[in-house]
Amino acid sequence: MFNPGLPTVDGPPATAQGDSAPLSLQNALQSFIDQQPEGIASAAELDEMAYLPGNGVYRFAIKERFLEWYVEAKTGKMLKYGFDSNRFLMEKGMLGWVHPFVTRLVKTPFEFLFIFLAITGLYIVFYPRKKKKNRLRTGCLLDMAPGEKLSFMGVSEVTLMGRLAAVGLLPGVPIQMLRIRNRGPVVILVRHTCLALGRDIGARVMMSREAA
Amino acid sequence: MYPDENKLETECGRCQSCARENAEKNIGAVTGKEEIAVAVAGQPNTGKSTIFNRLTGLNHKVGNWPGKTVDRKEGRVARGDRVYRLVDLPGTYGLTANSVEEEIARDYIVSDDPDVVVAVVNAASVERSLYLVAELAELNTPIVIALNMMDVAGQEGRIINARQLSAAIDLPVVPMTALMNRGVDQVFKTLDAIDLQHPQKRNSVELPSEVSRLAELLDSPSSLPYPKKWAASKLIEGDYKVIQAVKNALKDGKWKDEKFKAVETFLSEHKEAAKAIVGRRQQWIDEACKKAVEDVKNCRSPSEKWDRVFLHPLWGRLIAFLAIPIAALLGILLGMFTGGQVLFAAMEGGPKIKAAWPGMIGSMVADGLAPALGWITALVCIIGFIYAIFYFLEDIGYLARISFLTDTFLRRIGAGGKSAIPLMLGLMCNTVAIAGTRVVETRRQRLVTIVMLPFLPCAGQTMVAAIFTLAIFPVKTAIIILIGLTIINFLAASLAGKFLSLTVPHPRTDGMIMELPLFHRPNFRTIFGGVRMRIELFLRRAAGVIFFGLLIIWAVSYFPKGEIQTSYLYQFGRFLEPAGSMIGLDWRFMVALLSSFFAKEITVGTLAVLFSVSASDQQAIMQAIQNAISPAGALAFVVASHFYIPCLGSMAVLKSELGSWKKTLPLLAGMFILAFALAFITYHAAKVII
Repeated sequence: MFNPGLPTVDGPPATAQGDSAPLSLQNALQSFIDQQPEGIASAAELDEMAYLPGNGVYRFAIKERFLEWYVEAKTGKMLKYGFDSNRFLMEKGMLGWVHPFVTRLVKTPFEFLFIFLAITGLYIVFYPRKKKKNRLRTGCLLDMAPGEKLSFMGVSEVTLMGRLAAVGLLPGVPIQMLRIRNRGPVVILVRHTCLALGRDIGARVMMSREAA
Repeated sequence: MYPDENKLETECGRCQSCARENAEKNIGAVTGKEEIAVAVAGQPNTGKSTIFNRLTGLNHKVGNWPGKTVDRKEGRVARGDRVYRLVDLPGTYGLTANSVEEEIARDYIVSDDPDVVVAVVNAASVERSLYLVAELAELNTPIVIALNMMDVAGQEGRIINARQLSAAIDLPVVPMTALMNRGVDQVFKTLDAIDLQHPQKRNSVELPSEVSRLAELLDSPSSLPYPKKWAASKLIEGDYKVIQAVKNALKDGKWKDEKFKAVETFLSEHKEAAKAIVGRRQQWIDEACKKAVEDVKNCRSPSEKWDRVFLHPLWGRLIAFLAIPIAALLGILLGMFTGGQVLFAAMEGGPKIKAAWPGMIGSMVADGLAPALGWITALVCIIGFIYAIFYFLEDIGYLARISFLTDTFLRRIGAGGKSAIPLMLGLMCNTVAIAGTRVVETRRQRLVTIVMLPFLPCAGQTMVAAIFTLAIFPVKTAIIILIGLTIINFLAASLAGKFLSLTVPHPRTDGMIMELPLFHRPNFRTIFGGVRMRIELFLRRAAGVIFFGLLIIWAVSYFPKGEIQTSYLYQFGRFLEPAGSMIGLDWRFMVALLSSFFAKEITVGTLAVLFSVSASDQQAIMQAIQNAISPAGALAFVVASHFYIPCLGSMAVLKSELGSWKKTLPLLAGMFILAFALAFITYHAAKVII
């Protein structure tokens, strides 16, 4: 499908700007064909002929096959030619060869992911500063390390004490911390039962100093 | 279980099953038999439902607790000269009410005064689950302890000596493994042996002296609906419901002011008493377990290893984010391949039926009866499969993990961790999602989830929006509009949930305390029992409304002349045209919106009829839409259709889950107004921009 052996091009080349007027499209094309360009048999195959005024070049291209030739507008001299691998990858990569819409479907989640990553990145930088202020409490459940075993001492609020007692958190009961992270609920092992406690509750639970 | 079967058989003179049915009906009426109310209580994750199913043999009635949309299961079993009326109470950790469920269980035990309480205790974590027994023992109701999951305890290397335990607390203890049907008959034998005439002897918790002193302060005869001593201990423990009862008694004038003041000062002077009560209960539990429980070896359950993956902040979340949509999709697909086929057959057979019976009868069968029956069959199958998957995940213990991972986020808007799956289902079908909200633990979180769900666009609404946007806008813009709209829907749903959770009063249960049960093999009997119950409830409560609602919609779109172009629906659409013109829609689009009440999917079909193009030719429909509506109008239509009131099926389920039309109608009215307002804003903003 694509011509093998051709160099790859990466955008239009830079040319020296001068005062003289550019060749007409007809003349440029003629001069292009005269140079017997590689990868093309006749001018009829071209499906794009454009003048790029910013660069002072003509671009001849077979879009379908991702081939491009750049011709200097003033002299008609061939500057650069080859296979546009960038455009090829953008259009046909990521399942684009199936349908352009499929590419969109594949790419969109990644675009969201990058936004998400950017936000998380900022969060990771700023979160520890915010947290240090809260980390002054001592002796609460949240200060335990994973795997550590301490015994439960109590909570100050009466209603919370009742709730915790009902799930087995009674004074003197040994507690093993199973998982604790920088954020999110903690998991503890109390009397053969795994319990997940919200951080706000964990902060109110006082632990005794001695290991259980 | 039916010792009188032979006798009944001769009386009835027919088959045995008939006799059994008769026995069921006559049980209450049979003279000489005393009916004994047995409450089956237990902490969550003790296998209470399995025991209840085993005891009643899956033949029980399901319903709601009066005034609350919380499941109530009740079954009758005849034995000898007694009839046991077993009531399955919602799982509760103790007798302090922290949620509506716990309140129901507590009130039933304390106020309705059952004759016997069967307390289910998990042998694998006896120390924890005995807490409920410790609280129950403070009351006078006879107790039978069902020591369940003996096999699990054995696997974990714990030996529980039921006889020692029974001797220590002086209560009958029945060791059992309900999963394998071991010990079920023993429960009945123990129940038979209970003498209801004399109070059961027991070794109950010795409460601190403050409790009896406070009990003396309470007025007598008590104006509280609770036993005095129990009320005193709960006042000290700060139970909001008991405090409320005291306040109510004060308001009604049954309680004298000075008495109240005395109680108030007592409570403020003895703040440490609550700690003492809890301490005494713990002593009681330690005492009971000292001789009865022996840890032979410390076998760690494999759950911990699995939890390393399933609770991992990254991998656990990834798995959950894959598992939730897969579970939801699988349920819907399985349902569509079974019950959905009936619906498709009904839709396809429509023209043939019309050809066979021209006129009203044919149209009624083809457009009314057959699709209505098809819809209900499809919904029954989908709901059945969805619940089968839910209960499966719940039974193996994974649902609690999903809940753990999503809880922090969902709690902020007032829903719970287990709402994640219904919310995901909401993107596919609101009806099924709302019917599926019973997995959400507390009634309050469930309420929030239910209110959020109608705001989420179902697959039908998304399809309508896709056709409209693709007809008017280029693909890229259309996709952006669709995604943006869905995000706005989610925001609206979250706001609705947040608003509700702020306005609905709730007991102080902020913060998560959740048990993570061990992973274990599923029990298909329990799963099947749950699914059967859900389908039964759907058929009883919602199916009729859906069926007749669909017939009525057919009638208004058929009469008086037999075509939609001249029907009452059309006339109503015409009548609404002035309102429609405010949001850039002509009468055809208004009729389409009205008909979407039937099911969101048929909106496009109605438009096809109104534009007189073939409903299967999407290109033609798009062309017709393009010619009939401005881009701003199309946007307004899509917005209106996304926020418009849910379809009839959802409404029926919504009513059955919210409990009354009084709660349902304001929600629907709110949605209707919101849909119109948003469409109005969209239309005028779009007219300026485009």
